Amino acid sequence: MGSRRLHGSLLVLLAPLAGCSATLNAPPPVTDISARQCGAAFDLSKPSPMTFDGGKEWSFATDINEAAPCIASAGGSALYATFALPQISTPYVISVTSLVEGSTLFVPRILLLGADGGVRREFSGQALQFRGTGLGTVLRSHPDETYLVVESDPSMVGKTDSRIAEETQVYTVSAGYGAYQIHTGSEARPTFTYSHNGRFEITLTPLELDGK
Amino acid sequence: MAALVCLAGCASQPEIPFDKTAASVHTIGVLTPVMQEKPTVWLATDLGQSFGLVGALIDAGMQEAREKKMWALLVDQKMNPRDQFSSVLRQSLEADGFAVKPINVERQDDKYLKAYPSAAENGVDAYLDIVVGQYGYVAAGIASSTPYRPFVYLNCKLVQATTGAVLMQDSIYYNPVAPFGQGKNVSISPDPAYTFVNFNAIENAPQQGAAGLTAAFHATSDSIGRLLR
Repeated sequence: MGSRRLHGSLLVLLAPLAGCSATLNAPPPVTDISARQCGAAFDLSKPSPMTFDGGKEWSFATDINEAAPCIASAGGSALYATFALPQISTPYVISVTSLVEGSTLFVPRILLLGADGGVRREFSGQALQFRGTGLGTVLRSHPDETYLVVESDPSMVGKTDSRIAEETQVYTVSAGYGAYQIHTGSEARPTFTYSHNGRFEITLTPLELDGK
Repeated sequence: MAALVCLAGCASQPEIPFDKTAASVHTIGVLTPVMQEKPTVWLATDLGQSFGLVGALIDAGMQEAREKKMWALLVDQKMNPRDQFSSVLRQSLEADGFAVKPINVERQDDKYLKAYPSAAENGVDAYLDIVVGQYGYVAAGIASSTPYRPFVYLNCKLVQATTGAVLMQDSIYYNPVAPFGQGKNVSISPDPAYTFVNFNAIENAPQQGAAGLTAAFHATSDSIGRLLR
């Protein structure tokens, strides 16, 4: 009887621990990069490739940290990463989502650049919304855009925010020859700091206009 | 049981982002949204779920009782959720610079319309079709640490009036209780001002209870507006 109780208890205890590893390994928020010597323009010489051919969804997650290239602008310095947009004939959907890591949330500004390096479109501030548990946006590709630049938004860095997150869990507990399920709910309100660093994910998907 | 109802009405959909450079939209015909007249009061988990059919029947009875009380509360507060949502949505879209024309449509089911009126019929650039899967109050569990908060789960679609092309499509979850709203759809954290430790707390603060729903309608409507910028 005691072992059966232990079995159920272990399940209850271990499930939340699985989610803790990401929090324990989370980088602290970087909110000051004033010591960096930043360039005046984006370095577009080595953009990361995106191997999306217009068919199957393509997804890529990466970290941006203090070693990332930085750019100085009137609004402040920002860390950034550059990507080469797939040059395909069919339009597609670009999703950029910053992921919460512990108390760190990379706050992005998303720029679409032409082949000449000129900014064609920009998405930041109110154009971003939380999607799932991350902060970002979705947008349609344009044929005249060659580069995607994801940079930190210095106007937001250092601010804190929190979100109420509710979830349900189901635990299966063995008892004799059978098993039963326990349904529980929980609520958390993690606080995070908008930062220059953190993790974000880019997903490219075909544009399905049939509205299904 | 409530979760099953919600699953049926809250399925998310692939996101189609709006591209304002590709379509000129000034006047939006807002179709009568799909929306239940009365809100759901949903206890996402409880002990009854561990006791099979008997537990489910007991849960369903308790939920029905809570929903009757909630509806009586709203009637007493002279709040019609459907009218309130439509009014708030109009305000949000107008604040984003759109002219809004309400379009009354007869719904055959709780899904998007299969065919939209012509542009000439209503003089609009696009039709906004909204399916509110569920709305009301939800608590993740029975403990005081999982209070009741307002929730709204909806799907929305903007269709070009002249061509029928889908200009935008997304799902918005206000106060998503996981596993809902964990994909790439819009997820809005609930306003902490509207927190009720149990259902009695809503009954004891009816004005606040109604205001919580209105706040949820504002947040979801503003989110739709942001998707169209």
